[in-house]
Amino acid sequence: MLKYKVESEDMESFKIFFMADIHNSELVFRRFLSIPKYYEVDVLILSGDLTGKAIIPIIDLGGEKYQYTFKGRTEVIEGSEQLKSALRELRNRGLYTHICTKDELEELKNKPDEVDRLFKKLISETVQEWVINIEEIIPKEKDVILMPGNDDILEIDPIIQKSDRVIYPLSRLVELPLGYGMISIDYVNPTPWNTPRESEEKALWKMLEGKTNLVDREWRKIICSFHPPPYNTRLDLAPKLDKNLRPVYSFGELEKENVGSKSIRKFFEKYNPLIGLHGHIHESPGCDKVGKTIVFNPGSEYSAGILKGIILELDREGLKNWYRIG
Amino acid sequence: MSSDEVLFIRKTSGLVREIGAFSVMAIAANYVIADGFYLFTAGQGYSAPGANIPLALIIGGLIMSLAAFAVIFLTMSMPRTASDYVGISRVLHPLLGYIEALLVFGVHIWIVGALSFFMAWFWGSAIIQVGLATHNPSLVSLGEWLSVDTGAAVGLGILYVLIFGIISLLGVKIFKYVVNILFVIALIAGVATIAGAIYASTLSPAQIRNLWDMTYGAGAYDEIVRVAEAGGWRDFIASSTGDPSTWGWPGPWSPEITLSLSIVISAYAFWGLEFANYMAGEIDKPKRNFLLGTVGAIILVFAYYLLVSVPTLFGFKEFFSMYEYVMNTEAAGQLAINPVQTPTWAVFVASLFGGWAPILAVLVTLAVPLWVMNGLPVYMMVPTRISFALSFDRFFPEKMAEVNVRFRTPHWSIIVVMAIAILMILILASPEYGPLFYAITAVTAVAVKWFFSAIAITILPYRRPEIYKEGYTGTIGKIPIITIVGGAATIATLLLLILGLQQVAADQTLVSPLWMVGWTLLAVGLYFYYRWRNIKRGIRVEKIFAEVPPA
Repeated sequence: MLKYKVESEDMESFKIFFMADIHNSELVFRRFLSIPKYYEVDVLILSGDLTGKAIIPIIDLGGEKYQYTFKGRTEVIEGSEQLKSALRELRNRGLYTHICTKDELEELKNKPDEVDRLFKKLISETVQEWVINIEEIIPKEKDVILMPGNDDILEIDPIIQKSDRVIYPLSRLVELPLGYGMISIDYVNPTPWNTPRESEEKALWKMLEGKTNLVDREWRKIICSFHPPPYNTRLDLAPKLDKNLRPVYSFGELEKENVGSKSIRKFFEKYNPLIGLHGHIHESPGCDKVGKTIVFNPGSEYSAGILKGIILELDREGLKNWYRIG
Repeated sequence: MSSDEVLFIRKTSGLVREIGAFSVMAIAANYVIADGFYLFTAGQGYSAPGANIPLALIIGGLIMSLAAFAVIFLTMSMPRTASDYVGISRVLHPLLGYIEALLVFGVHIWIVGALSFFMAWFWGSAIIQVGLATHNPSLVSLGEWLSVDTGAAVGLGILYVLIFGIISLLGVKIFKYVVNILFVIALIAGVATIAGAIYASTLSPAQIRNLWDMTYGAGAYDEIVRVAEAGGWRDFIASSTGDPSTWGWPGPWSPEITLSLSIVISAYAFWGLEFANYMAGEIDKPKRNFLLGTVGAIILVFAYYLLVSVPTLFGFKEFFSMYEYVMNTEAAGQLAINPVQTPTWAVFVASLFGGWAPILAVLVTLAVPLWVMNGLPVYMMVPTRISFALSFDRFFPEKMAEVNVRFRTPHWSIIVVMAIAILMILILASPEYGPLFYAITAVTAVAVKWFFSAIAITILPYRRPEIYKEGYTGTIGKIPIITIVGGAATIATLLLLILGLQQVAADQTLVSPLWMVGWTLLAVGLYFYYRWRNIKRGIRVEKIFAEVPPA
């Protein structure tokens, strides 16, 4: 287990910055990198669903001319500066970009295995780039924890693990100041989309129970960074959809339903850790309580480039204060 | 998204798109042209006496073409594996899609086993005919052994399942090449058959008699006529049509027989025109190639059937009916010159060449087992893709949706179908079980697919406009063309379904109705089980069926 490296006897409290679900948004990531500049935080946690879901091809028309179509609009770009700007704009929205000729694009359309390989390549390159950025930009005395989520392919884990600077929290108890420790889970309860890290509730419960072997202190000193929120709280409410994927309204109000994990709820009720930090349901930011555990979900608006996070201040007694960013 | 917009989304089925329009046509033709035409349509000379076979083929073919178009339009909107199931479940109701999918699944795992088992009989019969046509007694003995020996049937059947199963496992590219090559070989034999049939139509009855005798021996032709007359052929015709001279086109024919029983048998000869839809997730440029390939298959099959049947009937006239009667009744026991054999179109055409051009006789005769054999890899493909699609929706064991990383095929689906087919072969080898159901049940079960698909495309523009926009959106006035075609297909396929269900209900052994009811109940049970299981696991079932699965 890691021992917290910088802790003085007169340290009264420390701050954690927590955010989740940035889905490859370059703009939100850049804002994450600048958090220590504006906030006195000691630990930064970027948790769950780090990677994007789509590649937009940019067609090289030759003579430094490029073209792409997004949301029904076709843009033609000329010159390397415009190209850089367009690439940045698209990456800010969470998209991966791939420059290719028209023929290459036609080939790609018929080869899903090539597209798969391209995804893996772009995802891995981006995560590697982010790890390097964290190593270079965030001050060394701040701990940075990077945790994958259900939407993230397994190939990114070794990239994070290789870093000496960035902490990969899965399968360990991460030491935090003032004797606090953090356990983490990347898997979620089943979704309709067959994401890389999802599991039936039974298997999820087994994973959670397995984490208890890492806990070597009282549960009131434990923070849980579990990607899915607990079931039936303010954090797991997603819009109810009809069979045509349209939101359901009732008396003018948008209907919502709970989609969180029952196993995680059961875990908190059984062990009562101090805090639960969650993501996964972008549209359900908030704070709630399950038994004695205070649970948080910062929500996400990555596609709009908005950073949404939570700062928690802990002292030796417990959670002293918390507030939202964004 | 506009039509130019390309966005690669990170979740795919894993299947690759390798199949073009020619392969779509080959898959359809290999599926369709088989015993339905060669055996059962020719057999109407006995099973539907007095029928106008070409007219019944045209009407039956048009009904099947309408049904095919229902599935074509669904596939163009949702070019996904087992597009009929995807379309019906997303447009009508998931339970209806599930029932339809399970019925087609059940039909095809039986067909794979049964046809593999009967391949020995098909080859045996063909080899007997080749032996007779070439005056080679050893071939005749070999053919006789193949067509009656159960061990040969089991061995050959299992070999077929293994060979075509392994081909299916090795990837879509290899599957495609094998299907295409088999198609071309059978088509060569088919072209020879068409040429022979056209030749038959130019001959006088006396010339037909001479050529028949050259093949089977002096007096063979007259023997058939004599035995038919003495054996009650005219009374048989009269008992069905009311008139002993109404033996069928090109002679006097019965509209009642033609427009009922004959249409059902003829429609059976056309079923499967659209069956490449089960691989729609693997067709390159599916909207274009599936349409082109299937329309190509429709034209090819119509041409093939009419160019074989019309001139053959025109040439052989009432002899065709007499021969069918003799070979299907105890009158065959009276024959001393003619061999007893199952009458197919190939028998008639090949008989014109046995005495003077035996190679042509061989080629024509081999068309039958070749076309039947060609269907096997396609029949095997159908249930594997259905189980993949159901599993992808989380309504079947999840292993079935696994796609092999190297070969890009749903390997577990294929292996399970192979295992069940081999089991079916072993069951069929036991004489007390016999056929577990009959051909009419197969068509009736698949008619459910056509009927539901027809309703789905009729209402698609109104019920799921966002899906409709992805496919064919032509209109006549303000009415979508797919609604017009769907409406016509609904009526036509309902007629077929009713006729088929009547035949199923008439089965005295109760095997057919029990099969239909049993598989339907199984489908309902499995649907509700998986629905409950998914909800228990926290999966939002309504969301699965609100979306079209990824490509």
